[in-house]
Formats: sequence, structure tokens, C-alpha cells
Amino acid sequence: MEKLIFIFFNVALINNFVLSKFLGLCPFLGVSKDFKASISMGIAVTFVMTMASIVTWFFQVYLLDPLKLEFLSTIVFIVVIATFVQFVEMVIAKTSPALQEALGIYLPLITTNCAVLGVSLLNVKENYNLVESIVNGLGGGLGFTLAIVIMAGMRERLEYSNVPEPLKGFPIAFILTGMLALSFFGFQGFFFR
Amino acid sequence: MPESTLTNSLFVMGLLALLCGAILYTASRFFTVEGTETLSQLIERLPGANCGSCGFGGCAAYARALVEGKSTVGACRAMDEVKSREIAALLGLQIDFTGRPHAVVLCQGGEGVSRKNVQYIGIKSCKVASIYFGGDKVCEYACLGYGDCSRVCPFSAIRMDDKGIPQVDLEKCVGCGICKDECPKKVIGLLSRDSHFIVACASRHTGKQVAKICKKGCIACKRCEKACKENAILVNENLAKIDPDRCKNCGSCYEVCPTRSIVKI
Repeated sequence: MEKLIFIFFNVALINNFVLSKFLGLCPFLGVSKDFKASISMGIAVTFVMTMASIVTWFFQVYLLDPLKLEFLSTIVFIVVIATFVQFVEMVIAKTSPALQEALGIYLPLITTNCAVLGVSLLNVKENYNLVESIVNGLGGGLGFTLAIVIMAGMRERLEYSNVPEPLKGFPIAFILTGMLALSFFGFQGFFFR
Repeated sequence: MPESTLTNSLFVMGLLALLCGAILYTASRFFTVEGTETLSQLIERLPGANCGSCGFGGCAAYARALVEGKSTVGACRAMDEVKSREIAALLGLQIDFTGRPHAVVLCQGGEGVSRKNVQYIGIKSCKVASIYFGGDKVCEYACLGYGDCSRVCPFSAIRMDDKGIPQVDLEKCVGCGICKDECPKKVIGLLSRDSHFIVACASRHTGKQVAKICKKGCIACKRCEKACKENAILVNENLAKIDPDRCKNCGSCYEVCPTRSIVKI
């Protein structure tokens, strides 16, 4: 149990995917202009990360490990995650138009997102079991949501600020991301293990 | 053994690719949403301004509502009649085309007309300015003139004139009412295109107060009320109001108004 809590906070805050591993920056900067959209994106990423952790864990343990094909994990995971996300999107489109409205447009954006792939590969690298993998995926997703929601809040305020002409748009967003990453740096040293 | 690794990986990847392809193929067979073809055609023909005046979240949502029969073609105010008929034909529907209103600014208190009592140097936005004691104008009902309505209009139909009062381009305005919702002072209204006269003032101040602070405000003198032969004008809470159902657009109120707060459109 202690280890699960450690994994969760480690991936959500200390080693946040966006702010200390610099993974998943594309959706992070692309969808952080609007507060509501950023929350939807965060939920979509959390969902996909958690599900991808589960699916890829089974592929790793029951397919790649027995055949000693661990080196194929990257490419296998890409195929599996992309297929899985597309499949889920089709199911959602058919069964729940409301959910499709909220998440549907974000799901295709993150089919082969590097943060999603990153969480699956980390599960393998750290030799996590199934429960630990799920917690890792969930924590990573929630950490991403936290980061993108904070970012969206800052960028909405930025609309009203006097930004120097050459820095308008993405440059100032990147500078903000760097500052946010610095502040998340403060979480390091929470755990000594 | 290198040989078995090679064959194994080829085998696994090939099988995996086939499996994934098969899964997606069957899923696309079983989970296709019906009516997607009409839907994409509809989305293509809709204005794409995502103004939301139809009551749905954007053009795509409206198109879906159209396909499901939850809305009518006339609900979209951004389409002209030709486009509307085209879309109605696509759906095989009868068209419900109602007259569209347009936005109208209920204040003429621009620079040099409505007095200012403080100097405001904050962010040039009406929403922000109105937070600080209701803005920089003495008249608390006046248009602040920082152009929130102009910025929010998806059809670029609102332009700020040199006095800082929004001017509505009737050609471009579709009456979606976004500016009306955006205005913190509520000085934008929607007027039917059949009406040509309106009281362009929103002040509830007494006539005496208005005369002090604004050159073009309604002073509630009731001359228009008396001049109107149709009994369409009523002065209530120090402000004249024209009932569009009774108004015959004769213009007698416009002629007698001493402050020119009744305008012709």
C-alpha cells in the first residue's frame, strides 16, 4: 500500500509527466487556451493513460516476456494503444453522444501521445505489477490534468496582460511552462527512497 | 538463438497487426453512427461561426440536432434564405423562416456626450472597467465604449466609432445576441427588422439628473408619449419605451424628442 501511494505521488507531482519529464507537451500547449477544454483534455488523457497501462501490461507479461521479445515493447505498445483508443472512440460515438461531445474530439489527438506511451514503457522499466501499473497510469493522468488546468488558468489571465510583441502566443507559453516546471521542482525531496 | 528471435518477432508483429486491423474493421462495421453522411454535408454547409444562437454548442451540435429532428432550419440565424432552403432540401424538410432581429445599441453617450467623472487607465475591457464602481462614466447605465461587443461578434458586424460607441452593421448582423450577453451594462438589445425607431438610452435616472450628465439621454419628458397616435410609447421608470407590436413607424416621436434620444434605424 505504501508503495502504491509512493508511486502515485511520484508520478503525479514529483516526476510529473509534463513538467519534469517533458512528455505530452503537444496537447499541453495546444489545448490549454481554454479552461473547460483543458479539463476535458485532462480527463481524456487520464482515461487513456490508465487503460493503456492495463492493456500494455497484459501484452508485456503474457506476450513479450515469454517470447523474450522485450525489445519490441515500444513498437508493440504504439500499435496496441492506437488501436485501443480508436476502438474506444468508436464505441463512445455509438453508445454515448454526450460523452462523445465531451471527450470524443480529444481522444484521436492522444492516440499516439508520448506521455501515454511513456507511462506504459515506464511500467515495464520499473517492473510494476498490474495494480502498480494502474496506479502509475492514473497518477500520471491526474498529474497531467493538474498541470494543464493550472496552465489554462494562467493563459486565460495572460489574455489580459501586456505581453511584449515578440513573445505573444507560444513563446510566452513556453516560458510559463518553464516557470511552472521550476515550481514543481520543489516537490523533489518529498520522499527519500 | 538469433534465428528464433527473428522469426518470433516477425510472427508476433504480423499477427498483432492483423489482429488490430481486424478489431478496428469489425468495430467500424458494428459501431458506425447512422446518418454521418448527411451530417458531414450539413456541417459543410452551415456557417461554421459556432455562434450558438441556435441554442446548441456550435454548428456541429446544431447539425446533429437537425439530423435527429430536434431543431428547425430557421433556428440558425447566421444563414441567409438561400442557404437555409438548401439545407432544408438536404434534410427533406419544410422551412420555418422567421424574421431575424438585429442588435441595437441603447446608448449614444460617447466621448463629449456622456460625462466622465474619473480617469480609467486599466485594461481596455468593459467587463473589467465595470468592476470598478461601474465604470468611468457618471451615468451608471451608459455604454463604457471599450468594445467588448465588437471583439466578441463572430460576424465582425460591430465597429467602434470615433466617439467610442459601437455601431452595428445591419448587413452583417445576424441577430445572434452574443454581444447582448457579453455587454456588462446591458445596453445592447435586439430589434426586429420591421421596427425603425428605438429609444437609444437605457438610463433610469430622473430627467434632471440626465440633463446634467448626458446630452443625448432620455429625460422622460413624455413628449413622445403624447405625440404617439398609436399609444405605443410608455414612459416608465424615467425611460420611454416603444412597444414594437403597436408602433407603425410613423416617426412622430423621433421628431418631437428634444434630446434626440429616439433614433431612426
